[in-house]
Amino acid sequence: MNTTNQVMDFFDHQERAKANSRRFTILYIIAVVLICAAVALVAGLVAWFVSDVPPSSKLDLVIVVSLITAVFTALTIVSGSVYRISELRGGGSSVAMSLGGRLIDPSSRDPKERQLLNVIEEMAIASGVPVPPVFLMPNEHGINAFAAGYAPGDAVIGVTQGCINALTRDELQGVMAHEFSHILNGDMRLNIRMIGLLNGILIITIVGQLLLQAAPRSARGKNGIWILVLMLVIAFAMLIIGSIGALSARIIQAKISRQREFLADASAVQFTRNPNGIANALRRIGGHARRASIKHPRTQEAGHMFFGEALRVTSMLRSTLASHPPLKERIIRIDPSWDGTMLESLIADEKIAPLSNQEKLKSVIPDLGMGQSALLMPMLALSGNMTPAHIKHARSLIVSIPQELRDAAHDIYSGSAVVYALLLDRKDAGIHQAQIDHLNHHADPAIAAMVEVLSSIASTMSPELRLPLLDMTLGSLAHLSENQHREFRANVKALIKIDNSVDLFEWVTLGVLTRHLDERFGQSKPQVTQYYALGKLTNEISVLLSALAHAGATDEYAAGESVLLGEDSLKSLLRGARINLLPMEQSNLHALDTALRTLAQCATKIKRDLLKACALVVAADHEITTNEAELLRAVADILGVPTPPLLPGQKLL
Amino acid sequence: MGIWITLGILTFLVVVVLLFVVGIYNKLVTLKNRYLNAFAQIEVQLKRRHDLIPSLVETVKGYMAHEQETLEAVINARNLAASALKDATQDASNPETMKSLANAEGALGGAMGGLFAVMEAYPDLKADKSMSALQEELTSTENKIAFSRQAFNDSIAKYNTHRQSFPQVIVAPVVGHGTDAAFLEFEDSAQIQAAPKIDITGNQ
Repeated sequence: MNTTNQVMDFFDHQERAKANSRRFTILYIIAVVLICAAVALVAGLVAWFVSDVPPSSKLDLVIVVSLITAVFTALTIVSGSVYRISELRGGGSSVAMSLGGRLIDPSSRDPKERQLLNVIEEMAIASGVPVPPVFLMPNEHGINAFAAGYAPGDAVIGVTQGCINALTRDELQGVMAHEFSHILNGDMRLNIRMIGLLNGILIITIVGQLLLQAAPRSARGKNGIWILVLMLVIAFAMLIIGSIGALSARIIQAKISRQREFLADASAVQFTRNPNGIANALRRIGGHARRASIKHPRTQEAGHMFFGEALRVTSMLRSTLASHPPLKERIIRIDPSWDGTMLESLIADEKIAPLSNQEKLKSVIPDLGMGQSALLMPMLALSGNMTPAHIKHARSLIVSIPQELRDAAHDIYSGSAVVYALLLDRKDAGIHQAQIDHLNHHADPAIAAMVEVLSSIASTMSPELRLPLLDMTLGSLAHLSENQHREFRANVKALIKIDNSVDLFEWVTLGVLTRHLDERFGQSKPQVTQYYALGKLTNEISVLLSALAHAGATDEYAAGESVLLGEDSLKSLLRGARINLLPMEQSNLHALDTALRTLAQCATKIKRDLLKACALVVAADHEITTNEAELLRAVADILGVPTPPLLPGQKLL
Repeated sequence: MGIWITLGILTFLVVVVLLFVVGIYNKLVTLKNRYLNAFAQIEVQLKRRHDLIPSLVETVKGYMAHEQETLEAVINARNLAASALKDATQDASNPETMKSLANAEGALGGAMGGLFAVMEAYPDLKADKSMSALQEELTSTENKIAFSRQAFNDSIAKYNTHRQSFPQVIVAPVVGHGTDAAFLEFEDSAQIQAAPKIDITGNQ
């Protein structure tokens, strides 16, 4: 169907989002220059006609006036944009709350809410991003959903009451796959950019309005009438110039937004390999009395974040200003044989069919089986695409985690207990006791009591489930208060430090928590790209590839072979520089940590190639161990690239 | 020419002040939303507790027919607390409703304490399987209430401190954030777990 989209992966889509973002920025700069020039021109003309200075110095006056006006206009626009962008970067939760969203309790027992949470959890684990908090807009009865946030780590998902009431599980899955593709394709960042830049241009019209209101009051004194005329002329000029600027910016924004919607629809089909899910969801919007409408007043500026057209657009401007392509066109692109009918919405109390899609999936994807290899969740990015196999795999992983642990992980209260339990030492009784003692003193006593029970359940679970379980808890941990979060993180650090050494899982845990919770609690600094080539980074790459090689290989020779494979795949980027297998002590976790922090500053495209090299090193012996899987996951997390896991049997490259 | 510079500077200043005020307002709204959301977490747990109490009373009834008064006190306190919760949910930023919720929950805690104290005299009841399951569920709900209440109070503290600091303190009353939000404090679950001598009527 969408052959071009099938070939492209997340990295390409992210690149394209960035390219769009750049294009928009360039157009924005042109627009700002034009607006400034226009406003300056008007001011200059007014100065020419009204000033009473001698003709000899008239030109000088006009130039000075125009320049000052231009500078102030530019300052106003840019500060308006910067301000709005910095505000929106504050995180997805504040956006969701400002739209009237209420957080859904991760341990909710409401069947509809539970179904939604399950669908999202499967999707998150399948795509390698932490489970996002979910917000419900209880007063909205149109069928709609959105994803908000600046980076995948602080993303949230919002859904309307109408959405969870009116859709079946398959349809819901289709809608969520659409939202996840926005998250993974880097669309949210692009959206925030566009909203912010647009806001700056709108400021000009706001200033125009203010001037218009202020003009009559300032028209006093002997020059009163002149000042009034001046202000009115400038006010109108700003209004008109600003409106034209804003309108053209909106048209470009809407055009980009529509492209990204088609892309997200196509990706949703690709993730779920079930065109009916998303097509039927769209058909239900068509058959729903309220369609996808959102009543909340702040929808105006957030309209293009939604799944369906949230605002009613007047017919004249529909084709140029709509943030979404027409419903019919979207359905036809997904299902070319569509007969043009829409669907009635589900009756609210209709029985929820659990996992009805599983049978259908079976015919498309070969069964993965439940052997040791199928349970492994090795991160990586050979394809950079989430497929139905990933979702099915995620579901099978979730089901294999003991129920008690899953319940505890979903609960805001006991989420931290699950992490503590995973960190308890089960071999050395002394250390174990010291850890328990620490928790008794520094954690909520009831949580401390829970930890021992959970830890003994976790010890029966196969080790490759630890990482997905950790991912699950991230969703609930995001809801701790700042103080509770600080206490939790301090306890985690203390539990890890008690034995004076950091083992692999502990390191992975620290990496995952730092990456995702710091983003959520606003403690991380934005990542700045510093490296566009690998020439200077050979030492860091050597550490990275050696660490991975040692984790999997049985002897020095095999490790060397694996590193060679990785080096080979990076050949074009290295330009003749060599990667060496370092001895274990030079590629231990400490060295790896330092190296990754440097590598995290590489451009996205380079990170993709790095991850590919990592995957080749890990897969060199055709066997992926839990250690390798966890290591890869942490590497991807620290590099800041969410990537669907590599599945057993998946074709390499 | 002077007038142009003045006009330009004025316009710019107006824009800066406007952005500044809007910024303060937005931050206040965000913080308020955050504590309202934290309240939603408590609401879930309190509701859970209110739902558990009738089944607890039902179970207990069979064993202690002579303690009608205690049971009624529990049911009454539960109903009062449930309606106080409903009011508080309507407007979690109102200190009044928050206070009456705190009082009602305190009274419920007291009544439950009374019930548990009386139960000590019925060893059969303590051995009842469904009873111990209910009690376990109730205790864990209590813990969760305490935990989410802590998170709620944290976010209230953050909102209040932010609101009271300069320069927000000047802008806040103008944009409708003139009063502090109320903390939620009630007589803690310690009473229920320890079950000491408690006034049966539940009045503090």
